[in-house]
Amino acid sequence: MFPIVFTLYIVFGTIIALLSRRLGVKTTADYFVASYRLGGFLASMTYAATTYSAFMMLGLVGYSYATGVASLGFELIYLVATVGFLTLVGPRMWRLARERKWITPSEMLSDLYAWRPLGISIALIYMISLIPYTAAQLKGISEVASSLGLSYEVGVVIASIVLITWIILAGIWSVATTDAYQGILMISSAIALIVWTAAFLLPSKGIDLAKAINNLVNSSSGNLLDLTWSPEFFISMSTPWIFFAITNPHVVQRIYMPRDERSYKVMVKYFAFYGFTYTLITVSLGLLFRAYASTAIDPMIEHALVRERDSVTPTFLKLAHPLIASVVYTSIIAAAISTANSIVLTVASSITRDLYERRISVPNQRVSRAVTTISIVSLTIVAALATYYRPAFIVDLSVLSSVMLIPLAPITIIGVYSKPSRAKSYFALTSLLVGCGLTMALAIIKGPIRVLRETLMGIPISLLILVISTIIMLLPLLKQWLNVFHSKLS
Amino acid sequence: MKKSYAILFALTTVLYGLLPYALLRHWGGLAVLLFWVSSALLWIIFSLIILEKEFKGV
Repeated sequence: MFPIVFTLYIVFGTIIALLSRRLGVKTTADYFVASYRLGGFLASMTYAATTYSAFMMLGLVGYSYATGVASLGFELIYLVATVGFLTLVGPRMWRLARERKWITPSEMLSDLYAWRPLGISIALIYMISLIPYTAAQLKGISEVASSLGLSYEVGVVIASIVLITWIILAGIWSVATTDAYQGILMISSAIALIVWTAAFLLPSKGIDLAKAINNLVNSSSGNLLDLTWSPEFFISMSTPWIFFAITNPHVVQRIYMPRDERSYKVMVKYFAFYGFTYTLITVSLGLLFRAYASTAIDPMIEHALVRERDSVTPTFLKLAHPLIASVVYTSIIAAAISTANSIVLTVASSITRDLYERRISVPNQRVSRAVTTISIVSLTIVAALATYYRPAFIVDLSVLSSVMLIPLAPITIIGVYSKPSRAKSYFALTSLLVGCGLTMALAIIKGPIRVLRETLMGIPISLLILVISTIIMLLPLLKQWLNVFHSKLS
Repeated sequence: MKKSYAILFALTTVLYGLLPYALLRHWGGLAVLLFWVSSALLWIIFSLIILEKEFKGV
């Protein structure tokens, strides 16, 4: 069943990408940000599909199965913070982007601080942190493909070809339209799975709502409706995600694209309700499957799944109807592809803009297109090779990517709301280098997983990096305040 | 971005994450789940109302 569903998914996606070519791509601005003319629906769906990766159906379902309701708070605090940033910072960013013709977030920051080396440094940080993250998405696709009968290598090749094709056909237009298609597939398959779970799986073992709650309260991992995460672990995990909307370039770039105020508002509204629904469904799937497993699955397997959280969804899907299982597996691949192609397009846009177009007075559109195409193909090949050879540092870097980008949070907020000065741009670069350097140093000393989960001097490491980066960024303001204080005293 | 909204946003986000931890002993069980779900929904609705105002002042 899976090969048929997967083939249909690829065929329909490619037809949609081909049709999107009719929307017209002539300039770099057309190719990367749709010349700021994306409608509200497309903008919201590309935002949602880009943000929500395969982590939702694999990682979050596993987390809620193993650790309970705390994973709901972790994922919802991300949504609450993202909607907050889209409400408070987004409108100004959207307006400035079309006034100053920003195409990439690195270009935005170099413009806000009026210093080009800052943009180039940020573009390099994007490459270091996000290519391993793309490789992690390709790895997820290949592992799903290999667990369903295809070889791992074939999975890598198919995923890479789909990635390149759906980007190159029409740039952001083919990415956004296929994202909309994939976003609908992701949410509808999640709804189908939870309806099947509630209507067939749980009743088949006589589990009603009261019994499900009882099973979760009395599970072998403790009361899963209480907070099983320590406050330090919760803060460590949540901090990078709270600032995701302003630190990750592939989502920041999407703020520039809506065609008017109405489209921007529609984007935020639809994304908020999509995220809220998708989060509730995925966490509920994990909890309901745990309630089922407590009654109906061998306790050895139930415990093994707590340790091997990424195996929860595949085990769950073995029980489902083959059609539902195939559609859900395909939706996991769709979630990974929609995130990966957005990252590759955004990093390619940073290369084209910061390393070619902004360095010469009159950029040639043909050369720009060639640089873009070479960048897209090269970035995908690098990610595919990393996926194929699976070097340990790639996995480490993909774990670290969210922490490495944290210093961009204060840099972006202060940049958007203050006037540029050379001193501020030096502090921004220092903040970036100290934040990323500290992340890398701690990763070498402690190991990348522990950077994301542990504390240093009692403070969660991700929060510590945010605080240090913010203090560095606030030093020029502190100096101003001290001068004012001194002048008043004298 | 109005300063009052920014302060409110920062405080609400911190409270949203940590309030259940501070009051868990008194609340327990399903109350945490209901708090997170209902307050996220309220926050989304509140944000969409602010968004209307925010666009007038960009």
